Amino acid sequence: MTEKASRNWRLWGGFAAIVAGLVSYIPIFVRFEFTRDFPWVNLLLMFGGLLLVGSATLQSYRQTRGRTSGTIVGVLSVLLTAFFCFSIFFLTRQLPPGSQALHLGQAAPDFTLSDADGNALRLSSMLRGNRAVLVVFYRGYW
Amino acid sequence: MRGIQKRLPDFQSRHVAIVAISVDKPEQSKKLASSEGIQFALLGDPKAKTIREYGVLHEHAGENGADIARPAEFLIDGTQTIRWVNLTEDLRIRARAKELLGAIDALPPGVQR
Repeated sequence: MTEKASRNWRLWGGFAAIVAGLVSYIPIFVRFEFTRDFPWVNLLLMFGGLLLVGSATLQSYRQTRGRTSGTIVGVLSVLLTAFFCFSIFFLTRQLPPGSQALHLGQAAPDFTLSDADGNALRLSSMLRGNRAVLVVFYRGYW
Repeated sequence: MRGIQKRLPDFQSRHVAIVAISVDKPEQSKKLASSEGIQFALLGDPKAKTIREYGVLHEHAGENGADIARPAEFLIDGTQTIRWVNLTEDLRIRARAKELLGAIDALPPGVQR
């Protein structure tokens, strides 16, 4: 492989890894707790990609060839990686404090709410037929 | 909730009912249930009354600034008392089914039915 071909391979291969790392988290890796809670697969792809792009960009500066493409792809790669890190380590943590919520040992307020088919379910009635009820709150709009 | 669905038989064998509450309309809940294969009840709380009573309201965080629920899990026993709570600090990270089943197995025998 010529030096130019090797540089191009690292530049575009690295960039492809970064894009893949960014776009694959929600459709694929969020589905598995193992890759969701700490997105190590995506971070590996993106930081691996950054190393490749970085080395290709440095080479284009040393050889004074391909500086424009090297710079554009390099900056874009850093921005995409920064955006991903900002989203997963900052944006998704913007939640109201849990201290406002009901505590352990407090009485659970009764409720009657309708399910997707319009059937009304009441907490106190469900408790009569079961050992316990697990109430999950979620944001909706999936 | 995918994780809970996967382990649904383990919740059923422990006689624990599961409901999930959001501000979603029934059509949205139906869509979610069919796309994710969710077989437990998805309850709609459009005015966020119950969400507010449990203290898990996230103001103006929904579409068009609507109030929605923050992610949370409560385990309620037969005396209608809260026996276990999980309030995540990151909306990506929910309680795992294994943790929930562990909390159910740790319920004191006195409050079992």
